[in-house]
Amino acid sequence: MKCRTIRMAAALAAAVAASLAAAGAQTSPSAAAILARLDSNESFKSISYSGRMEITIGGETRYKTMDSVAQGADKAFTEFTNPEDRGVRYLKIGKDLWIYFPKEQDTVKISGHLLQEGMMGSDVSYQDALESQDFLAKYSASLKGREAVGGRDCYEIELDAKLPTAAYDRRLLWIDAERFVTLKAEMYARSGKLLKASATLEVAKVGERWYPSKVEFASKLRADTKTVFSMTKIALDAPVDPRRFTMAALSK
Amino acid sequence: MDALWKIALRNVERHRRRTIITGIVMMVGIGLFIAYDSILAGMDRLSIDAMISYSSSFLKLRTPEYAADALGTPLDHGIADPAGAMAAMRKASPSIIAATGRTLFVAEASNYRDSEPIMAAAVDPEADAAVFATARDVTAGSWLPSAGAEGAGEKEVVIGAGLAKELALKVGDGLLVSARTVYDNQNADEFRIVGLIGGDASLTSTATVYMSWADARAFLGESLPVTEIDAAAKPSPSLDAELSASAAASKAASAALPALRADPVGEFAKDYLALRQSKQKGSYLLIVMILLIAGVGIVNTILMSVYSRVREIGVLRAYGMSPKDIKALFVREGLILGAVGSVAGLAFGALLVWYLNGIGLSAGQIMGDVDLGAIPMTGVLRGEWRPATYAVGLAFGILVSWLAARIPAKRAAKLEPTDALKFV
Repeated sequence: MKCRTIRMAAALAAAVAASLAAAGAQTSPSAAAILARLDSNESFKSISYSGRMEITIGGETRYKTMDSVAQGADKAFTEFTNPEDRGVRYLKIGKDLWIYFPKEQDTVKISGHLLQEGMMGSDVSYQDALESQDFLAKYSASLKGREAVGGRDCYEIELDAKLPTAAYDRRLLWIDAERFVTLKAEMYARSGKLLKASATLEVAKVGERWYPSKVEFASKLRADTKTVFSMTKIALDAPVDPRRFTMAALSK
Repeated sequence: MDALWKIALRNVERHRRRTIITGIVMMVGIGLFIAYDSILAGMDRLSIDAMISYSSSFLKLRTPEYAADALGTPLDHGIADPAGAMAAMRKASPSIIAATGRTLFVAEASNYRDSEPIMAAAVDPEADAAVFATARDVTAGSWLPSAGAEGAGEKEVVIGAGLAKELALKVGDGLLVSARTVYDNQNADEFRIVGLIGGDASLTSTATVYMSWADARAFLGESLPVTEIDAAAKPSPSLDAELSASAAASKAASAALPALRADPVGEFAKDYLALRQSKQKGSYLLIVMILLIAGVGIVNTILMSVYSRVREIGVLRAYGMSPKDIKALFVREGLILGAVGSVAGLAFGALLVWYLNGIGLSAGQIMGDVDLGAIPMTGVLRGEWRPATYAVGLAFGILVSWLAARIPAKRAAKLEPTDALKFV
């Protein structure tokens, strides 16, 4: 009887310990900690890559390829390499954007609003494609729960803009709980309207970091449109020649 | 009147048929030139008036920074004190009878299926209607309610009929508008369509979506600035007077408001006005051709007159008339023919211009579907009275006639009396 009692007590203790261990495994880090891990993966001082956009509008798909290099949120340079647009170059410095057209050998300056527009008619804005994300600085975050996306466990994080100058007023992010990359995102306007949604199709290991290398963007302001943006030859935080971000480089 | 003038006049009367034929040639040529010039001036007036009524206004005030990047419609270079600037502008330029503030912004309009890039405008509905003609061109529904009126600030827009057709929308439907806010990020919201703009404005207006300041500030940020002030003035009797008045008002406004840039309508119509100058050259080329044809007619008429009157010339020489007098006689005949033809041409031209002014022509029918880009060409085309054109027509007609008469006159003067009397 005594032995039986001891065995039962031992079994109960083991069950409690197992239960506590399991509970510990389910405990989520704070939203800020998740965002810090995400930023350490997805924000960069500089990035260079070869990109490809598959732009689908109303069942018709066009392809654009490009080589891009960017430094922080202020400087970016893109040269298109697909046959139709070969040699077209974009230089973004701050809020200004210059486009060089090789056939006309002409440079056109465009400012402000175009940075929010789809690049080359796609659903990817210049900000989406060229700017570093630093969520912690711009948004306050709250953890809404956990949800599986594409079979992977994700944290669902809600971001509310701390400043009116944030790119979107509200974002919902589904962040891979293991690799800390965004697998799904929804971007909302100040009015509450859903502007855009994205889904990460592929994630690449870049050095020690995981980085979304293939993302599908869909504007929610019109139907039957999506853009799959994929990146290869990604280099993060590598030194970049500052002469790349000059007018001379744009029209050379 | 000396004897030579009397003889010349009698000769012109005597050869009535030839006189009438030459006069008709000149009348048609000069008359058509006057009508052609009037139509060109009317087209210019129509285009510039459309720019004033729908986009450039009589005078536009902006900050120099905004004006330098106007195509990008930046929201960070607004006018610091729009009400003060409007008051100062009106004080400096008494010809201005109304003023309003506008902010244009690039946006995207969507029906949730398709979207169109658009130019939108934040306006003061009441003041805007006093400066621009857009409000008068609402063909369905109504213009935006005035600030404080029922419905004001309730997310309402008036849109171009063309945009409504593209997006298959009608009055009462919702239009999803997305645009960059003053914070440099994107906002999107649904607005109820309360009116459609058709008519002239659908082609000539710079904006296709209009919303009130209250709605625009709620949409784009409370600090949304006024980026341009537009002014209206009483219409001038002619295009040149209109352009001069606008330039003078602009100069006065610039002097009163040195921190702002005042642009007259001529600044926005620069390309068109350059085109107008080349049109004028073409117009003068046409009169030269027309009058040369008339001149050939006169030369021919007077040559025939000389050959049919060789014996008469012999008699006149035998009576003692000198070669100089003979030459003067035929030159006078040419001058009389030219004067008669030119005056008839002026009368015919005035009749055509009177018809053009009274009835007018549909510019749309004349131009058809021809797209002149930024040059608006709609409405009723009316001619313009241009006294200078009449003076040019008269002077040129008489000058060409005089020149044309000199050649046969010289030949007549060279004839010997004996040869002339023997001429069969």
